[in-house]
Amino acid sequence: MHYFALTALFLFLVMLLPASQTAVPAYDIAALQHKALVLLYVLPLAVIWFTAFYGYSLLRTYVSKLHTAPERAGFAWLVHGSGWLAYGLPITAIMAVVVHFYLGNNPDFTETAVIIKNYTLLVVPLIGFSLISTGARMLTSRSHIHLNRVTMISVSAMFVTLGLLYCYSSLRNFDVTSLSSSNNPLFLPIWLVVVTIVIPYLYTWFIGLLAAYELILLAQQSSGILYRQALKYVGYGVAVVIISSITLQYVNSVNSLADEVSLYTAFTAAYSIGIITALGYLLMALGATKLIRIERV
Amino acid sequence: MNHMSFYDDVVQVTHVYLGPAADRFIARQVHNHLHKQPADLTQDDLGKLIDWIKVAVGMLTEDSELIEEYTSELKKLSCTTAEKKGNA
Repeated sequence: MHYFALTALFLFLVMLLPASQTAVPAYDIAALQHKALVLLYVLPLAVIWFTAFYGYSLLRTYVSKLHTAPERAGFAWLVHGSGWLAYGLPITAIMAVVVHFYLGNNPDFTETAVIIKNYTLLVVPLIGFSLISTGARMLTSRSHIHLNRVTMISVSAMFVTLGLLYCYSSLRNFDVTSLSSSNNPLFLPIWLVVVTIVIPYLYTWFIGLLAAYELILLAQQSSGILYRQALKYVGYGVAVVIISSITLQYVNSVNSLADEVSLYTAFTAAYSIGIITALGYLLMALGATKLIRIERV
Repeated sequence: MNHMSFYDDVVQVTHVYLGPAADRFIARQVHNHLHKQPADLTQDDLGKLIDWIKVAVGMLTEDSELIEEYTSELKKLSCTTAEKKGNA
């Protein structure tokens, strides 16, 4: 129900509000072509959002079946986290449309719009991953599953590589001679970018990767042959959602700093990551359906 | 001394297949199909319980070998209980 209301609001805003004043000249297209392109971009997005809400609602149904079961609390955190991510998809898109519209009428608003957009894109995964991470930790602790040392080193190495690449991509366009200079694509002093954007992103990705690893571990080592088969879909599904979400955040934040990105590259990247995210949510939905069936028969 | 009830034995076997959902699964089968409280489950109920479990697990998986393995593990409980009585 919420999905349909949010998607309808988004489509309504996209079609009703005038075309972006920045995109039309940037890509050398007419306003009508811009609308058609936006619609072409938005319709697959609506399908991805649907899979997110579908997966979330089935996982929520499963938790409601657990009543007083000891694992309920862990799964409830997973539900809160995946719900936060699912609602975050249309809400951030609606915010972006409204901010762009306001920007069209108030060009002085550019700096504020960029700042709002960047913090909104950060807050959704930060809270979503924190909730999922809490759930994953509770479930693995309850099942007495311990993290493997070698895999932990691999996760840490992956995180360090990702972090270094991100820092390099983020800071190479900045005026590093002055920490208080706001002459950069984010319109913020460099020290504020590091403290409130770079570090929170790195933290978000670290807890996200750790949660994905813990869920995969839980899916592989949990007791019960049939239970484990169902849990594998949920564990791998949430892990895929987290990893694709991290990839999207990475691409978005690096893109916002890049000089120019072609329309083709932007569409291809968004669709590819979107399809992977949708597959993750579908795996989660399939696993939740199997778990619900176990609690029903 | 072994304080485990017959219900606990059934749950223990089921745990291998249904993990943390085992307790709830068996409690539901006993309550819904045998119309008993789980604590009142006895060895005499085992045959009927296995029949219901076969039906229920058949809805969860098409792996007939797994279902067969699970039910034969449950059937062993009647022998184990008889042995326990004999030793006592």
